[in-house]
Amino acid sequence: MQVLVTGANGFIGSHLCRALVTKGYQVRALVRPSSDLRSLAGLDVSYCYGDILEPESLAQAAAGCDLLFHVAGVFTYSGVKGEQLISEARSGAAHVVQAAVRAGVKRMVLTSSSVTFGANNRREVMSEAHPGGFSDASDYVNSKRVQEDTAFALAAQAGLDLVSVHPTLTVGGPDYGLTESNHALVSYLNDPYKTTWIGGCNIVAVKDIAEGHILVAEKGHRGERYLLGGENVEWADIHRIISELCGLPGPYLTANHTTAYLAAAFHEALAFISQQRPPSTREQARMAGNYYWYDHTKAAGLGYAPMTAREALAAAVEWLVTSEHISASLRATMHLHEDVYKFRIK
Amino acid sequence: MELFDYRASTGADPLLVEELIDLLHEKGYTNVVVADAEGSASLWLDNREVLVLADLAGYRFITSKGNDYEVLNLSEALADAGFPEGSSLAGTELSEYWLSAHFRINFCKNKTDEAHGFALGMYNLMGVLPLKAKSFHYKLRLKQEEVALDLHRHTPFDFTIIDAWCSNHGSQGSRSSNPLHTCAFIASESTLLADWAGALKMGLDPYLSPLNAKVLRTCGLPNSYWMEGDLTLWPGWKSPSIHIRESTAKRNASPLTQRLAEACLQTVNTDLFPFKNMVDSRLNAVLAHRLKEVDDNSAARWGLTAINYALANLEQFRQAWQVLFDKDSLHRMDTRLNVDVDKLDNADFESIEDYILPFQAILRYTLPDRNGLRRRYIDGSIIFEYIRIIPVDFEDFITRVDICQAVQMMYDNIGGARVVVKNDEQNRALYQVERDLYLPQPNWMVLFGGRHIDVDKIEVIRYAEHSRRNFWRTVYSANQSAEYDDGMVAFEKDPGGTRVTIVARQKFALPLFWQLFDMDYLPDVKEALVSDAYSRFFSRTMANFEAAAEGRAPFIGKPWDARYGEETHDGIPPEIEHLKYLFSMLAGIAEKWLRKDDAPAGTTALGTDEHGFRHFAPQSTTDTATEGVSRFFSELASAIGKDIQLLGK
Repeated sequence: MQVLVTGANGFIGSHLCRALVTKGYQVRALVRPSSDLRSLAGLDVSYCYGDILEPESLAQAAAGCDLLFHVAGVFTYSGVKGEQLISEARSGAAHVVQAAVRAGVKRMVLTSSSVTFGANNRREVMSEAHPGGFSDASDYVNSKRVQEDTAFALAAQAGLDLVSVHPTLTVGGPDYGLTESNHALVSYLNDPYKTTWIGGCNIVAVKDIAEGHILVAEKGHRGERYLLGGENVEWADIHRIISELCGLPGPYLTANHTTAYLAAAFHEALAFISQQRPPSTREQARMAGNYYWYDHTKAAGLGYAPMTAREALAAAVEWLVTSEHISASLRATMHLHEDVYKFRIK
Repeated sequence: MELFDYRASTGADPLLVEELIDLLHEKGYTNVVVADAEGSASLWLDNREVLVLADLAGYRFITSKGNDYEVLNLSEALADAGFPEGSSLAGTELSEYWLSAHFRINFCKNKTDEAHGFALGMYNLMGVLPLKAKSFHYKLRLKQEEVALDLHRHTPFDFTIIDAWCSNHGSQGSRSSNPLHTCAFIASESTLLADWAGALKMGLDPYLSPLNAKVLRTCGLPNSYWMEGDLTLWPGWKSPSIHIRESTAKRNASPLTQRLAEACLQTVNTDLFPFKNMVDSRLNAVLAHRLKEVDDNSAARWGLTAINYALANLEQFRQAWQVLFDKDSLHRMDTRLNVDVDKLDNADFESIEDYILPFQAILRYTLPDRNGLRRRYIDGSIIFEYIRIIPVDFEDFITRVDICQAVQMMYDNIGGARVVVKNDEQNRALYQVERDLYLPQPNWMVLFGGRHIDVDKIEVIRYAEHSRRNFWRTVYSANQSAEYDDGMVAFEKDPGGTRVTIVARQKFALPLFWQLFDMDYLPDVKEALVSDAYSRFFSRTMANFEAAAEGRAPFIGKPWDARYGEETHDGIPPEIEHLKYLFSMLAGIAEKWLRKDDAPAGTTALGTDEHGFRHFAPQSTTDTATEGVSRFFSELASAIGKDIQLLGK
């Protein structure tokens, strides 16, 4: 079966390509001519050079495909203006749906995000039935909502079989571009004060997300949304597990809303001067205290069985410590737990 | 050609060089050329290309007796100079003009140097190196004294003449012309001996310059040398004071301050050599002439000393910060072996194992401390053993982690050199020599003036079916930072993966502050400090082995930019680029602010066109700066509100 994956060289996209190839799909990878293709190295995929903002290149890439995964999207809390984020999400989704319709694709899978189902400041687990929405949603959250709304509206008009998947905080590697979720782990490791913060999230391994995509594509119900998550954990526990896996002390401090916001403002100011990526942003700080806890029972009904948060984090740490995102001096401070070695691929 | 004005006294007089050319022609040596490489000044001054500089400084390309001569650029026609492995300049190219010359004459100026006291033949030898950013590459990236030693050993001058007819004296050295008619020449087949006499004539210790000191200590003066002539001091000679010398040397430890100081303090005839950028020009105009008369003006002298020390202290603070908190921003050190490999024999290497293994036997009867470290004291040194089983298959581990590099992988290694002396039949290293530089241990010693640990070691490697072992012994410490740094690293097959064992004997020199305390009077404190320091060091060394097994280079620090100054037109260090960026950013904000004030209400000034008309844009509907501030406070208030709510729960 011929499959097109947009954003194929991205974090989730590349893992999806790998999983699809393993399952015997013929994969076309839509990438930009300037894309970093390290994540796809050695994979038996054919490259289509284009851009989701260029409809013609999309149409050519989608021609003859049975299945289309629209994974491309910008996941960032800094460096891109909100209007641009939302506008590109809307245009991209529209172009991909139109290309899928024109190509006669049998099913399209849209990669959205769990955050479109909202978050709250209580330890409440949300499912696909949750209405979503909260008052101070970030630009990223809004962009994912717009993307999803646009895609479903256009698909309904055109009669396209569309399902969406909603990954939670996805960690793992390879992740050469260091997405925000892995960046959060690296920032914690780099933080000399080993600061955790209030609230919690749902951690899932990228390998599970890739397999979840395929499950939903193969067995999902038309027009449905599927949360793909792992385990619901408090941030303090996540950071404690990371410290334990890396043989480091901590967490030492817990940031509340105010200190998280002030620290993020300070990080942004330093980043502005140094022209480097800030360890945290005010947009992220505004999410402190929220619980992004989700229930993936619906996907589990399709056979989705993710690993635990500890396993997901061990797999992520296993790759991160070998990557350029962890400096030699930071790596030298670690004494990896044997759980990390279990995920090491020879 | 350290000349910044026509026939200035800071460099050899062109007319004297031409006289020498005439003399050589008279003796039948008709193929004579003048040669020099481009210097650091070409990064911040115009007209510093060798040919142009020669022309402007007074070389006429034809002598008064009508003998033509060429002026060649030693930064061109580069070829492998054959510097040996393990030397500082290994891999460095030199100009073929220099390499192929049948006879090399060193014609240098008799002058002082504000950092080294004097700058004579050995100093001039550095001028044959090809890269423009000489101070950066051959004083900071590489250790200048080691560079001088390599040059002297491998491409020496055949004859040295010191132009002391009109010397340049005073505290400012080459920074400005301060001529003194000493009416003499010093000449020798030995550059070291010529410098020796030159320094003595100045009333200085010939070992004062680190370049000369290193080469003198390593190579020595010629056997049975003699000196002819009057060695009494030059009348009226002024040498740089110790304050100027030390403060300048410390200031020059930073590429940033060195580059700034070079451009800002040099007295230059800007009609001949205009500045390349306005900032250097302005700073030079303000500072150079004010700090020129350091010998006659005590305010200038102490002002310069204070500026130098202030900059040096800032640099020391920056380096201490990097050692403690930002090791990845440190530069790795390229260096050379201090040990003469040819003087070592098999017995030197074969004796190491027998020296180390008894220590391990002692440690087997020692209980591990709370950090898992077994240790004892012998003759003031500490012997210890640290073991970790790394869950990586032995075969995989030894494939990825080269036992020969094990010592370089020790924590906080910041550079060095390694040369294999003998291989086995499978071409694996059996004997090797290496020099290792480590950050001060423990790192916080840097706050007390702790030095890098700098040790030359000889090593023997043992290979067995289920083990790899590297035994090492320190034979030299260039800065006397270590009395003992000997040991063994073993990788052995283990049911749990690979068992890594480190046995070592160490005794490092303490900074003066800590030498004042005898920690033996505080055994508990000493035990805690020692255990913490060593377990931290070896735990992190193990992490480096793990990292190497993961396929990553486990070395801290970043390499120097080996082409710095060649591609970047004005040779501005990255730090200055950063300052420039900040400056332009602030200037942009200021300009916007000024335009706003200047513009009519409700508009923003855009500028004035070629006809003198001023243009204004209507005010934007959103004021982003005000919005940003307002948003910040509103979000902060919201965050505080949420925290107050949490308190209530």
